[in-house]
Amino acid sequence: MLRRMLLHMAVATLLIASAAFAWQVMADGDGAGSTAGTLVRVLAD
Amino acid sequence: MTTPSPSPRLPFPSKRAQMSFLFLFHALVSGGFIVAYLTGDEDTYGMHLFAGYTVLIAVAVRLALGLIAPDGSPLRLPHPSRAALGQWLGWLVRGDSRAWRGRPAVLSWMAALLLAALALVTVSGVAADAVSKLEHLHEALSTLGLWLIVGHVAVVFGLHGLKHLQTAAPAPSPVHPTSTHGATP
Ligand code: HEM
Repeated sequence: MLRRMLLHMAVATLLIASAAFAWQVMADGDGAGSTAGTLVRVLAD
Repeated sequence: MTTPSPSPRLPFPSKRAQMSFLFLFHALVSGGFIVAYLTGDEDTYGMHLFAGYTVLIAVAVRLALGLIAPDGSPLRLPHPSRAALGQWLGWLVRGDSRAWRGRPAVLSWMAALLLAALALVTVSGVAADAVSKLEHLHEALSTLGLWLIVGHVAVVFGLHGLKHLQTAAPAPSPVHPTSTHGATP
């Protein structure tokens, strides 16, 4: 059960992080330059 | 005089579906909390809002379902009891295996505290988004939430470890058939 829980959590973290990232890029809405910039900022965090 | 007929019970999903919901809920709040915690910066505020609202909606749905769930449902909100926690601590201190078998009372306390903390953290986040003066309160509550989560993970793994230690340990030597000592009723 614990293993299943951890797997669900890992998948959810990745999905939420990706969706949140896409959301932020869309909200910023100023082109590919900002996408790369956001990715760098997120990774640097 | 006619007795009022009992109000019809709403059909509730199967126990299996309820457990799947709890797994999904757990995945959403833990994933959402981690992402929100790591993106609290101004630069990543969009991500922070997305992850925070994910947790807020998940907790709101969980609490609403907990309020309408019928008796015996795994979705019922936890009812932590101080007496049960005291008994559990006694078992733990004495090394009594009842401390890690079944569903220990400490888990119900953890669930209640975590649900309350997640609700406070997310609601204070929405408030801080509107009134910047509340940002410090939101930060403080998030830090408190993080420590609770660290405690939660430690308790879950600790109990898991104790359960496995016991199953791995050699079984106690059997009581001699003629002996009257140690006979269980
Ligand atoms: C390694 C990480 C984790 C593991 C193995 C884990 C495991 C568990 C387990 C086994 C339960 C069920 C306890 C019970 O019987 O009531 C539980 C409940 C809960 N956990 Fe976690 N957890 C982890 C991380 C987290 C995180 C990061 C959060 C929140 C951000 C969290 C929030 C909760 C909540 C709110 C409950 C109560 C669920 C409910 O009754 O609705 N957990 N966890």
